[in-house]
Amino acid sequence: MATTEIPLPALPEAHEERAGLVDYLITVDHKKIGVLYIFTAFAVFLFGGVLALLFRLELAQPGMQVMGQNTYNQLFTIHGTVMVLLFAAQVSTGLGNYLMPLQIGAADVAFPRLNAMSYWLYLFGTLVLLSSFFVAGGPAASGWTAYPPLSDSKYLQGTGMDLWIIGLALAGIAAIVGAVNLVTTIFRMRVPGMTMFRMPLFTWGILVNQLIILFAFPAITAALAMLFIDRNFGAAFFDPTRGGTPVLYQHLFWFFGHPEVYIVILPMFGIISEIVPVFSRKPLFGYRAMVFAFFGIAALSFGVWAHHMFTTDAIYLPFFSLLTMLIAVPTGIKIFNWIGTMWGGSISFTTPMLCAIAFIFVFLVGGITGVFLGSTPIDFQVNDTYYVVAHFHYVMVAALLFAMFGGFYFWFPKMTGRLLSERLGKWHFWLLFIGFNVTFFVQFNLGLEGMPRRIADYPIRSWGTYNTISTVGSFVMALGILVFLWNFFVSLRRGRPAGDDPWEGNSLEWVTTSPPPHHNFHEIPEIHSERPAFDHRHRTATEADAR
Amino acid sequence: MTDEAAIMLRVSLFGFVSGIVYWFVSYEPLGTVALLLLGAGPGFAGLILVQERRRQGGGTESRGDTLRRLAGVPPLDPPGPEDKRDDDLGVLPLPTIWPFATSLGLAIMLTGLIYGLWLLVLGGGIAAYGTWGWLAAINRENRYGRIQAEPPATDPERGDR
Repeated sequence: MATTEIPLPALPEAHEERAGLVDYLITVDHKKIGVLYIFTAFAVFLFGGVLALLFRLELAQPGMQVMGQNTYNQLFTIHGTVMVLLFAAQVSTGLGNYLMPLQIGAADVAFPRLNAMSYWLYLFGTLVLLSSFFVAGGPAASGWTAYPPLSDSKYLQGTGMDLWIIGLALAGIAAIVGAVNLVTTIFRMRVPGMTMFRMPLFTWGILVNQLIILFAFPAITAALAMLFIDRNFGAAFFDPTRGGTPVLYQHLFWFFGHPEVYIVILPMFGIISEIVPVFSRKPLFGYRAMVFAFFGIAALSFGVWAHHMFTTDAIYLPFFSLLTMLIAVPTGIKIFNWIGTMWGGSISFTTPMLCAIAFIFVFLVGGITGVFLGSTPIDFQVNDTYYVVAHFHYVMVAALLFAMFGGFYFWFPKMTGRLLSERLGKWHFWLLFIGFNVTFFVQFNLGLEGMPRRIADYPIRSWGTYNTISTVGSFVMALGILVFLWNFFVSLRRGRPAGDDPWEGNSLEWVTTSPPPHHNFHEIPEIHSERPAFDHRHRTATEADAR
Repeated sequence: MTDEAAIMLRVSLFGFVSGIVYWFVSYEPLGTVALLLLGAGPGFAGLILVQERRRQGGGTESRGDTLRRLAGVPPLDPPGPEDKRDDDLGVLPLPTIWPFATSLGLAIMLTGLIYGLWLLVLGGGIAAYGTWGWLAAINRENRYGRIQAEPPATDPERGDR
């Protein structure tokens, strides 16, 4: 069997492993930085989830029960901000950091120290934003989109909004720096034999996701800078009374904001494209079509920003309506290919596979309702109602959560050398799946009946039933998350040993040890296809038979 | 032309075409500029990659192969990676506190924009010290060496570089 041997590096004395937190403070190892990203993003997710439970309690019945109007505004603002920008966009960076160099056979990322800096900037940005809970007036209350005039200094005084801007600016800089690093790594650090069109789909997802970050984040960083200058230095970019225009902010925000959806979801497509073939015991159907669908989605995502602004009367509707509907084509190709991969396969319904199937289902629901929203007459009717909330959560939240948890179950053995419990995994999956659909499916009805989003109270009593159901569902989801946490901590200590390749995976990370060594690989097999681990197993078995 | 360059040039083409179409259907300047910039950025990166490939002496691809690659049609015999340098293959820098310190400084400095000049100066000082330490660490490594994994041997079958 031909392999490329990589001798153990001679570690200088200065590199002796340090214990615990100090090791993580000074690390430049992509795996440890990936773990830091994942843990921080997950902590942010838990925090944002608790905020959601609080305002779901408030909404369970008409009338004000749990909190005041302003507190409600602050909670849903911070919930949206941390979930979209500090959790969803970052957890994929964490997974990418850990897995992508392994998948392309690299020893680390291209700029390891810059990688560490990206993480620390992200962490400090998060802490700056969350510190706004401790300042006079509390955190921002403008909604996560922070449209002026809701976010300008006349309507929103205090430093909470400014901390929100600075925190996100830091996280934005971190994202841009990180994107330069990861794109360079994929372009420059692939092991011999790993051509672009032999890269695993997860790595493709990370590549396209980071390219979108590179082109989209500068727009939001500019918008935040302009908003900050408006608020603190007397400029009037967005103040119509002094010649500015609030719609300018919306353009800049959504030129970032819509691609952000794909920043979040494309790596998740990649995760699903890794899981489905492994548990269907078949190669991925339509590899190249999947890659081009990634790029189709990414390109179109930059042409649809103003479908969030249909009702402003400041845009050309047919252009954005048409491009919005076109996104369904490459997305449909992906769904078709996942089904094609499963078709006739020997499917095993492990927790990662259940998560992958649930992902396809919820993303389909979210995608179809998105096509409706792309039609301007329908959008004018349901704009800013709970229909949009439900659509958004199906596309972004459910799809992200199922793919992310699927990825956790799939790669936890590689990261720790132990398997997560399948029994607890199934409990977690079903609680999450049922809880999510109970929470959000009824919100389509609420939206069609006209319930506006971002309100702490509602005058129509009949909406109370749907809202109560939705609140119950959110607590079922929370229970599912608790089961996952239990599973995680128990399995980390007492989980079944996984071995190096517990699922008989396809991509290169399954060739190395679990967990991987500091320099990732002791030896790398020759790469002849997009399934190097499969080829390696097959070759090893053939050689063993021959002996 | 490499796959990487082809990807960048395709994104660039999309940016320019959609920017021009968008201008003539909307006459809306901001979106037009944003889309044209989407064309310019990746286009610039793509041209650098093309140029670099030529400098490495790899610019012998036929026009047909180039067109095939731009259209996304696979070449008859997929080439191995041509962009891998030996020194990319396992150079691991030592653990260091400086990225943490520099980031902390930058965070304090930006927060100083809210709370006043003193914080701005303090943060700027920490960031500058962190950057100095970072550069000094690189300098030290250049003098005393880094963790170096030996590059994998060339695969003779495929002729990979």
